[in-house]
Amino acid sequence: MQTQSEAQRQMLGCGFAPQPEEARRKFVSFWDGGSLPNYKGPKMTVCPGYSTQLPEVIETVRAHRHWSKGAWGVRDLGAPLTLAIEIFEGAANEFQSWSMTSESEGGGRRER
Amino acid sequence: MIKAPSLQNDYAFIFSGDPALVLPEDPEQRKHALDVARETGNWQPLLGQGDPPTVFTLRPLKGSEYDWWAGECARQRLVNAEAAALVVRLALVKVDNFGAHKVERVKVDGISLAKVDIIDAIYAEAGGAGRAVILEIADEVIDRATKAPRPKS
Repeated sequence: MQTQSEAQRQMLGCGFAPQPEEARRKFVSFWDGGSLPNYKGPKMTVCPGYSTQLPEVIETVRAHRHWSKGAWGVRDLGAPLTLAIEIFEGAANEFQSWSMTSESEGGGRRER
Repeated sequence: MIKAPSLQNDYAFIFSGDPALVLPEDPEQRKHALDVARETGNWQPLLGQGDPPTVFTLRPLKGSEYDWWAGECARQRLVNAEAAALVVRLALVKVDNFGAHKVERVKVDGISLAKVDIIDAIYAEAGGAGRAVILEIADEVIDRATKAPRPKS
C-alpha cells in the first residue's frame, strides 16, 4: 500500500499538506478535521487520506457493508472486527448527525 | 510475501530489532516509523540493502483459544516467558526468511498450536534478542485478542 505523494495530497485538499497560498485553487477546500464550519469536535490527529487507505480500515468498511445488510453476523466476523465495526458505525452516525444539523443549531449543514 | 494487516485474517509481523530494518535513531521517530509500517503493511521504506527481514505470519486468536491460553497459564502456573511463548505458538502459522526453520502445528486438547521447536529456533537464531522477539510478538497477539483496534498513527 502506497501513501499519497505530497503533490497528490495537496491536489486532494489534505489539510496536513496545504498548498502554498499563491498556488491554491478556490474550488479546493483544505480539510484537517478542524477547519469545517462550526465543527466543535476534537481536531483530527491523523490525515484522513492516510487512515482511509489502511488495510484494517478498508476491511472494516467492507465488513460493515455486509454486516449492515444482515449478511454477516458477529460469529462470522470475530471479536476484533466486530469492535472495529462498532467504532466505525458510531463515528459515521456522529458525523451524519452533525452534517444533517443546521449551522445555527451547532451542526455542519449550511442554511440557504 | 508480507501479508497486509487484518482484523480477521493472517497478518505479517516483523521484529522491531530485525537487522534488515533501517530505523531512525530518535525513539519517537522510531516508534512512529514502526507503527506506520505495521498499520499500512508497507515495510519498503524501512528496508536496507542487505538480507530481507524475517517475517512472522500470525493469525488472530479466537475467543476460545485465548481463554484456553489464560487457563493454561493458571493451571500450569506458567511464568511470563512460558506464557509468552505459548501465546506465540497459538498465533504463529508461518515464518519466512528464517533459514531452514518451518512452523509445524499440532493439536493439544483440540487446540492447534505451533510445535515448541520454532520457539527454540527463535532463541537459537536471534541470540540475545530471542526473548525480546517472543515478548514483542506475544504483546501484539494479546493486544489484538483483548483490546479494541488501536488509534492510527
